[in-house]
Parts: sequence; C-alpha cells; structure tokens
Amino acid sequence: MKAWRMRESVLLTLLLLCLSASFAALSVNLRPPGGTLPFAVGLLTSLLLIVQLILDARRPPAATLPATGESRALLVAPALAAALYVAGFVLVLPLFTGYYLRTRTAATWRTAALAALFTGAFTAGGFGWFLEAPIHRGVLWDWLDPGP
Amino acid sequence: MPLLEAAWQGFALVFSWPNILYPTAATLVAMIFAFLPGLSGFTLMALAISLTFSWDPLPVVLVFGALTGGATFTGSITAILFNIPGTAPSAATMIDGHPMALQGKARTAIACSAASSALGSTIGVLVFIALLPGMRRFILAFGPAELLMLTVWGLAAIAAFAGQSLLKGLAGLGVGLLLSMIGFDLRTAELRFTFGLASLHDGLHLIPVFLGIFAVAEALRLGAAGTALSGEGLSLEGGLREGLLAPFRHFGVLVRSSITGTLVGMIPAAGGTVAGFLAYGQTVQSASRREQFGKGDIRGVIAPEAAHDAKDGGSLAPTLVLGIPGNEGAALLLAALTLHGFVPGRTLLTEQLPIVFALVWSLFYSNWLTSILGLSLAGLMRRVGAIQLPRLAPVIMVFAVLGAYALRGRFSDVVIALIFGVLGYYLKRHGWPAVPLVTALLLGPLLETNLHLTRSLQAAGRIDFFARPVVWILLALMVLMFAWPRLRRFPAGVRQAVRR
Repeated sequence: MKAWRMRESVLLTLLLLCLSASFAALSVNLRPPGGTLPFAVGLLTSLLLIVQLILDARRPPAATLPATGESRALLVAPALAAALYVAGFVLVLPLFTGYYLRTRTAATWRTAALAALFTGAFTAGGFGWFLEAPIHRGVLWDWLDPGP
Repeated sequence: MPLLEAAWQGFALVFSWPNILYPTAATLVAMIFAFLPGLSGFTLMALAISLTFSWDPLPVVLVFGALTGGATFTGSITAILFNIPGTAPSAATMIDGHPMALQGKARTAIACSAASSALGSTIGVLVFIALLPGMRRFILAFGPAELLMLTVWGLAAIAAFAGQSLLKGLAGLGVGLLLSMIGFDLRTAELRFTFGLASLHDGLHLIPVFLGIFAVAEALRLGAAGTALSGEGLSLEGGLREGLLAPFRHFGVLVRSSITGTLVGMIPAAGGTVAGFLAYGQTVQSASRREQFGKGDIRGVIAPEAAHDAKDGGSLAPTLVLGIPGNEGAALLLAALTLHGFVPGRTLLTEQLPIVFALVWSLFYSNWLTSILGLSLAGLMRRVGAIQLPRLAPVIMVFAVLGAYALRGRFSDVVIALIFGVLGYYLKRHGWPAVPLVTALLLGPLLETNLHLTRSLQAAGRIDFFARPVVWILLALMVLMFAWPRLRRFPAGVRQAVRR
C-alpha cells in the first residue's frame, strides 16, 4: 500500500503523458489545419510531462502524502456510475445518500433514512416534476417496462 | 450606449422586483458555503451553472454577479473566531484577526472586517467602472492577431502563476488545450480524438467537466478527509463602533489595499489569496510600529479584507473585456455567460452594456449584503454546533449528478463529471493546479479559431502579424513574465559573488 501511495504521483503523470502522447500520435493522421495545433500542443505537453515524470520518480518517499481513507471514498465514483446507469436516479441517489451517511459519517439510521427520503423527494419531485429536468430512468426499468 | 444610461439601466435591472430576489438568494447560499471551511465558492458556482442552465439570461447574470462577490466575508468570521479560514482568501485575515479575538476584541475585528470588505469591494467596482470607457476603445482596436496573442498571454500567465510549479502549470495547460480539441472540427469537417464514442462528437461540454473538477472532486475530498468544524469559538466581545470606524481611521491602508486588490484581480491567476497576502505585506512594510502586526493589529484586518473583496471588481476587466478569466471564479462566470449567449468583448461592452452593469451592481449588492448580514449573524455563527463536513459530500454528489444529466439528458455527461471528479481529486492531491486545465478547455476554441484566422489573413496578405504593436507588447509582457523571477534574483546573486 505504501509503495503504491509512493508511486501515485508517478501514475498520475504517466496517465497524463499517455493522454497527450496519444493525442499527438492521432493528430498525425488528421488533415491540416485540423491536426497542426493538436500535434504541436501534444508534442510539447508530452515533453513537459516526461520531465515531470523524471522529477516525480526521483522524489524521496518522505515527500509522499499521508494515508487517508481515500481509496474507499474514490470507489464511490465508478460504483455510483454503474448503479445509476442500471437502476436510475430515483432509486439510486436516495440509496446512495442513505448508505453514504450511515457508513461514512456514522449518522444514525433515522438520519440516514430521512436524508434518503428527502433526496428521493427532491430528485423525483423537485428536479423531475417541478423543474421538468430530465431524469435517467435506468436500463433495468427500460428493460422491464419498455413503454410505448 | 452612453455609460451613465447603461449604468442606470443595469441598476434598474438589479434593484427591481422580483429581480432583487436572485442576488439575495444567491448571496445567502454563498454565505453558507463560505462559512463552511473546505467548501469553496467554486463548487457552488459549478453547481449553479448546471441548475440555471434553462433559465433566462438576466437571472443567471444576477445570480453569478452575487456568487462572484463570493461572500468571502463569512469565511473571515471563522478565521477570526475559530482560526480556520472559511475560504482561502480569508487566511491573511487570520494573522491579526484571531489574536484580536483572543484579546477580547472579536466583535471589533469582525465589524472592521465587514466594513473593510464592503468598502474594498466598492472601490474595486468604482475602479472597474472608471476604466470601462478606456477598455471599450481598447477592445475596438483588436483583430484576430491581437486576440490570438492575448489568449496566448492569458494562458501563459495562468500557467505561470496558478500553482507552485511552472512545469505542472504548463503541462496542465497543454492537457486542457488538447481536451478542448475533442470533437468535430469545423474547418476540415473531420472528427478528432473521439475514440469512436458518439457522445464525444460535440466535444467535451464545459458543465460536466466543471462539475467534476469543482464539485465531485470536492465531495470525494470531503468523504476522504473527514473533517469537522468545531463550534467552540470565542465569545463576541469588543466595540462594534470602533471596528466599523477603523477603516476610516486608517483610510490610507484601506484605499492602498483596495487598489492593490483591484490590480491583482486584473492579473490572470492571481486570486483573492494573493491579493490578501500582498496587501497585508505592503501594509506591514509601510507601517509605523510594525512589531504590532501578528499580535492583533487592526490594520492587519483592514488590508487583506479590503484587497480580496476589491479583487472581484478588478477580475471583471479581463473576463468581460478580453474573455480571459483571471481565476477559477472568473472561469466559471465566463462559462455561465457564454452558455447564455453573452460573448465577452466588443458586443458585451457596447450593445449589452446594461448587462455588464447588472453584473457589477449585483456583485456590489452581494458584498454589502454579506457584510451587513454577516455582522448581524456573527453571534449565531459562533454558537453553531459541530458541523460534520463529510455529511455534505452526498448532497454535493447528488446535485452534481442531476446537474450533469439535466444539461442534455445524456448519461455520458454524468460519466464525464465523475471521471473528471476523480481526476480533479488526484490533481489537487498532488499539487496540480486546476485553473490552467479548465481555462485552457474554455479558451482552446478561441485560440484555435484566431490562430487559423490570423494564418489565413497573413497568407492572403491582409495583415502583417509582426507589424502590429499590440502583438509586440504582449510578446514582451510574456518574456518579462517568465524572466522576471530570475532577473529579480540576479542583482542579489551578483552582490553575493562580489562579496565572496
């Protein structure tokens, strides 16, 4: 875990480098002038990121950040995206609020349930009905009830 | 349109019923956000962009005028009472504000902070209005070549000053520019960098990206850090009148700091924190009895408060005149304005001048309202119980998800917001400034369009790029900007060498 944390900044720089290098490589196949600027920017950015990568790799372990509970917190993003896609906003957002409050902030069951109810009412009533904003229904409900 | 007529029309737009409700409500919400340490006003602005997307343009201008004011004064209350700055610019106020509270002068310090903040913002707005006629003439002389150089200069300045590392700033800028090029290229009718995804054909929309970097990343950080604000503040003692009159007793400090703040606001990437600390440093250097600073000198409260509120007026100049946002708040303001059809520059400063004034009056009203309400609610804020900030994380996340989807009804926008949320979290964690990336994403299309226009005009013999004085001035400014830190160290290095 410590070794992973030590290399976290290297991985971030590497990710950005892959992105900029792939953009530079892809822009070679583009017709001018559409490919000129992305190629130049991609190439320069990649060079800068290589220098940053060397600096990150040389940084002593003491400069790494202290451990926090972020790994669990960050799993929230992909898990939430998947759940929202499958089951929709009206079901998942209240469940997410209640679960998050109960497990991450030690809120009581009563508080978590009330917050979930409020989120559900806000999502369906306030956002969907009152503001007439689009609400993602979820592929599961679309599959169960394809509609007209 | 004459300036005074436009100013009056703008005033009437803000201070009429029910329009006045928009800046009032926005100020109240901004006050709550500014009071909670760790939650930035930028999170609120990012959420507001998506929630106000379907609104008419005028209410959006009024809301964003009030949010640009940022209600930073409420952040200063926590700095004075709890020694925790509610917002980053309030950090400089803490140096003398909290010692004053420890000496039993908390009410005096808060009153002084409220008065300085309101007066500072007034001076900032007045300077901006005074500069408007000159700026209108200035912008009319601009063509594609000048706009190109100006965009390059603005981006370079943001990369140079936004963070501690120039390398990270420039690399972030490059990544932002590349991301801005995703989608359909209008010149060649070719798709660029879509990786076969139909949802990327229109390019990356600004709202999901901003929601990700400013709101989702904030929610993830709150969830990971688990911080709480303790309600154990100090008692509210000290003279209210003494505090309110202090900026007038030290009028020179107030005016000097406000002008410093306004000028700092005009420089890309130099935000309220820089303005506050710069004004504080200036005041300490030029003051008599310097030893009092840091131990509860009231001038140490006046200077940063006046400067960071005056900065808002100054930051409007590059944003509205040139379309170059000076900081995160200005970038979000610019995004909101452009989404509602307001294009910074010529049109905004001529035909839509009342809208510019509506924004300015809304900002002005927000700053005064924050000071008045903040002063009267300081007692209540002191008594506030322990606030569990992680409990706000799901609320922010829910708003971000709903806001991202509401934009176009596409689930891909929710995914983009979440991806940029994780990216924004890691960027902040490892000292990568977010401003160059988001500003480049915002200004990328402007840069590319003006580059191709300039090239075409040059090839057709319609302009001579290197014969234009503004181009040379901006080039010189850019060279100076990067060389200045080294030049400044040069005489000291020579002196040391001579001594050796």
